[in-house]
Amino acid sequence: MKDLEFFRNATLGQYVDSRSRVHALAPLTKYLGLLALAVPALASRTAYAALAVMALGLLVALAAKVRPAFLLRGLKPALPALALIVALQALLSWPGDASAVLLRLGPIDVTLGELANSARIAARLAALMVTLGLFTATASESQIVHGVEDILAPLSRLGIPAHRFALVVGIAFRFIPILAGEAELIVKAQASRGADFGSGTRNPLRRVKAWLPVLVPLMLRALERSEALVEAMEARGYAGGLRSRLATYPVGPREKALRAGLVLFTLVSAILVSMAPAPFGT
Amino acid sequence: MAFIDVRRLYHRYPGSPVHSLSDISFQIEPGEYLAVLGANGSGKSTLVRCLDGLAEIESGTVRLGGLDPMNADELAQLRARTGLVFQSPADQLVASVVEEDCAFGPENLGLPREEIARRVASALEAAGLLAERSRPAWALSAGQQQRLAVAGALALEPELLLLDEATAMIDPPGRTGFLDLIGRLNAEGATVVHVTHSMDEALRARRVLVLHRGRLVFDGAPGDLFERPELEAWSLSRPVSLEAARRVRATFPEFRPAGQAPSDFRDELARLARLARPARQAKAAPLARAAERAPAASVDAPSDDDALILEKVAHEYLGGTELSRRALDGVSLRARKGELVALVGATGSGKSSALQHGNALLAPSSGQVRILGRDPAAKGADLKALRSRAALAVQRPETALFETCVGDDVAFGPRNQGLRGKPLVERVRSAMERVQLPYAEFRDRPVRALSGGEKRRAAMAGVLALDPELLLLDEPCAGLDPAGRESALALQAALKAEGRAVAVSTHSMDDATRADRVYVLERGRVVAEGSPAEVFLGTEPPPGLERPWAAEASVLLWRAGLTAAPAALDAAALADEALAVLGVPSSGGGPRAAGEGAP
Amino acid sequence: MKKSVVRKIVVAGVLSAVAAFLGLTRLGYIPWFSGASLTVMHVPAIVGAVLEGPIVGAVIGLVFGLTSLLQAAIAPTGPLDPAFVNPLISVLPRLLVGPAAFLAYAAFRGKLEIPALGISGIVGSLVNTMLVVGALALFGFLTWDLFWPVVTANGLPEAGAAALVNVAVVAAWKGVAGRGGKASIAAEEDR
Repeated sequence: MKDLEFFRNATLGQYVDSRSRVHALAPLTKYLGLLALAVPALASRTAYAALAVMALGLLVALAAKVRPAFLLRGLKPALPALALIVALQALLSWPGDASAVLLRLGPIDVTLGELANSARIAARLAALMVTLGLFTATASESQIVHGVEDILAPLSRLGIPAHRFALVVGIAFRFIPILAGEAELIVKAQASRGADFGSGTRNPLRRVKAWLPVLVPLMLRALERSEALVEAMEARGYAGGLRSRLATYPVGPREKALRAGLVLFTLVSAILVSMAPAPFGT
Repeated sequence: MAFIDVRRLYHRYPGSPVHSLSDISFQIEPGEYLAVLGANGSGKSTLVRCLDGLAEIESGTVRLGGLDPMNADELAQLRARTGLVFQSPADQLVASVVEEDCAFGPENLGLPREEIARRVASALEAAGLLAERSRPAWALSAGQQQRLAVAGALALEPELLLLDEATAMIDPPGRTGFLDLIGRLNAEGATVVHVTHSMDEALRARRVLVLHRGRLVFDGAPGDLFERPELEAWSLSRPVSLEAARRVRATFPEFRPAGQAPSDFRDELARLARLARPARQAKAAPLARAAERAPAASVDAPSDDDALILEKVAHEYLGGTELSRRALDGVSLRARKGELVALVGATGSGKSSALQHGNALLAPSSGQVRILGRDPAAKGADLKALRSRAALAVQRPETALFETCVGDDVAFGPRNQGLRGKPLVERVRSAMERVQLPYAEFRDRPVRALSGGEKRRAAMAGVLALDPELLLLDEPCAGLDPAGRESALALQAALKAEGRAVAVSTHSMDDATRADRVYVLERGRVVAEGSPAEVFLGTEPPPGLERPWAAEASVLLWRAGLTAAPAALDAAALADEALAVLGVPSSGGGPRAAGEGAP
Repeated sequence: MKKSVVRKIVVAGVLSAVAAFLGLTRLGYIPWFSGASLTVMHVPAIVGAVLEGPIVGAVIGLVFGLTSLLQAAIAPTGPLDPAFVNPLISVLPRLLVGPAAFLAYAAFRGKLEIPALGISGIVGSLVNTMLVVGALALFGFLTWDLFWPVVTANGLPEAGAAALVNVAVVAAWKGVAGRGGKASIAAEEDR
């Protein structure tokens, strides 16, 4: 039942508490940093642009005392999928691809355009992974939640109960490991009663039959635990209103300047990378 | 005026034909420590929920410090003065970091940051968690999490603490720390209302309420309660300390220990013994009993009787990753057919992991496992078939029920075994009847409509319906009321008598004394093993654990030179021992006195 | 159960976690004959909408969409995953799953509780499939002539699975008896 242990690994990134100056920034600043790297990475139309974003991300990682290897290691599980994407790019012929044919294997043409496209997809993914990995390595779970709260704060002032959304995000974060534990218990209980797991059946219908008895009690357990949490929150005086907060993130003039710089960088870099000519019309 | 004033309270869950609380009236003065007892489903938790405005009152009045929980404005004030701690530690954590979770209450009050910081620091300090303030809350032990829940309540600076079975899911050391904290807070002036299944915890209170089927049937001192003949009808039991004293008192009415500690029992017995027979005293045996015994049975060659053998089993979760954790570190144990084996140890000591090797849910990182004579690691081993012969009931198995109707859920296992038609129905019927869920009555009952205790029994029926030769039960008695626990223990004994092998894990040393063999686990190792007498009556208590109350008293009697050797594991045997000291011939040592029982 | 804001917040958070969990562990993907996996990750949004209203459903859909975006960006496992980095494909359609399911449920609930749950599961699921496949086609990741084949091959079984889970979970949670209130083992007694 090796697959059971996988549940415990269900995390989105991992916080690395190296107490660097990057870590000391306010959550809102970190979100702006995330945007400053993610937006140009997404807008990039060439592999070079994406690789430049990735390099920048790795530089910030050094400043944050997060080992670049730690961020790059996450690429490994994605390799098979990347290989598949590249293979598909090569196998299919794309309409309007007029670039030079580099290699001809029987009916398959590998063109320069396809190659560039594959490289761009791979580089873009790598840049995004580094960016997101950097964000989760430098922003703890509660900072991610506080950041959402701070981003939505203006809405709250307008009377939209946006602060509740931050609570939703916080609860969701907290429940992922809880659900992992519940799922493990349920799968073990079912397996102990002779259900089919891990016996490697390939028949999709049988797999559906095996997963339904897991999914249904998992959702029921999730609802039962919500009920318990509702009581715990109400008992501690929460009724959906505005709250004060223990954690504060004082922002000095230098950090304010950094924020302005990040916003500017996001806009300029996004425009620059998306204006760069896409090679070979893809 | 009383601090809590409840008059003619009625409550009914929506759609339910019966009242969950009927005509409840009582008053509590400020600073009282009150315990609320009652069977599973007697209405205890509902009562607490009515006090805190979580459940709607049908009729009657409830006032806490003059505030009415049914009035929205007053409820907010009331909750700002009340701390409520629930049963499941993990269910009540709101934030992911310790201090932020603790701050949740004061944040809701909209207090200024400095005030929140001050309250959080002092609440964590009181709960002994200041050093953990920036740790993730999920990384705490269950006992610590429960103290964090108290800290979260304390940060409200409450006048009233409501505890709803708050100790049910923590191990004995965690429980002691938790109860000591509550005791201190009460001494500092907080009013405490403590709902519990533990009779020993009830003894800490100065006053006890008993609920039975939604009615208040007793309101008085714990000492008086445990003399009442209706105790069993209310699904309660007498604490071992009182039961043993009561049995001695049947012959010696003057036997009245000063308190409930084992040493009080010893002192009182010594006093009477001096009065009765000042001359003769038994000679103390110089040797600890454990040392007299032959070494434990693990040197035996494997035989057909062995249902389960773990041989130097190690298990590492997530081996090779940064999260790797060694759960078992060279555990050897065996369970024979017709034998009941108990695994004891603190949370995280490896009990569950060991049991899960017993039906091949986990495979050892190193070492050997043999289940019913088969090697689950062998090529082509049919694990599915093996698992239904060596059935595991996971912790809180009721959480994994998934069919709509009870009958179908029980039938899940035998259906997977290929049973159909009449034989299937027979299997399901007999399994359900063994756990007192009559088939005709419960077949179509929706699982969601069952009470907590019934759900546990339905889950147990689902395991029994496999008709397994080896049963692995992970904390089968956790969270059950005394009557439920007694019938679960009786079921274990019956299964064993049928020639099945039964292995259970438990936090209760009293439950462990009913086993044929006990394994004590600590940090993934077996640190003691043997018959209950060998494990619990040696010179040293089992590592990291307390002896059962009767065993502790028995050892104290021996240490005081009153008996030749400690031999009692339960109240009846202890009383016989005490009577023998006082010159009354023993009734044959009692059926469960140590020395005879162990094979 | 009285309706409360706190319950809406908690259910939205917890069911969002279920959706994210199903994605992170791949538990939410069921390998299917067509080669592309079936997904039940949108079912929490449907259940949330039915239990706590359209806004809760939309919030769960939002978190589900963001999770699939993050996952496509961080750990792509399929050839179409790069498309899901575009929030117009991964997030926007998912916002509408819950509200659509709620409308379908609201139209039929009352006496026909079980069918209403089934229909809302089917509607919510089909909205998900059609909008996602439509968005994929719109952005050129698929050709439009593949639209109906994909909706048929994956969308219909997904809708069936969503209906099944929605009925099982919500009926059990609300204590509504299905199958005429009888255990299916009753049928075995006469065999």
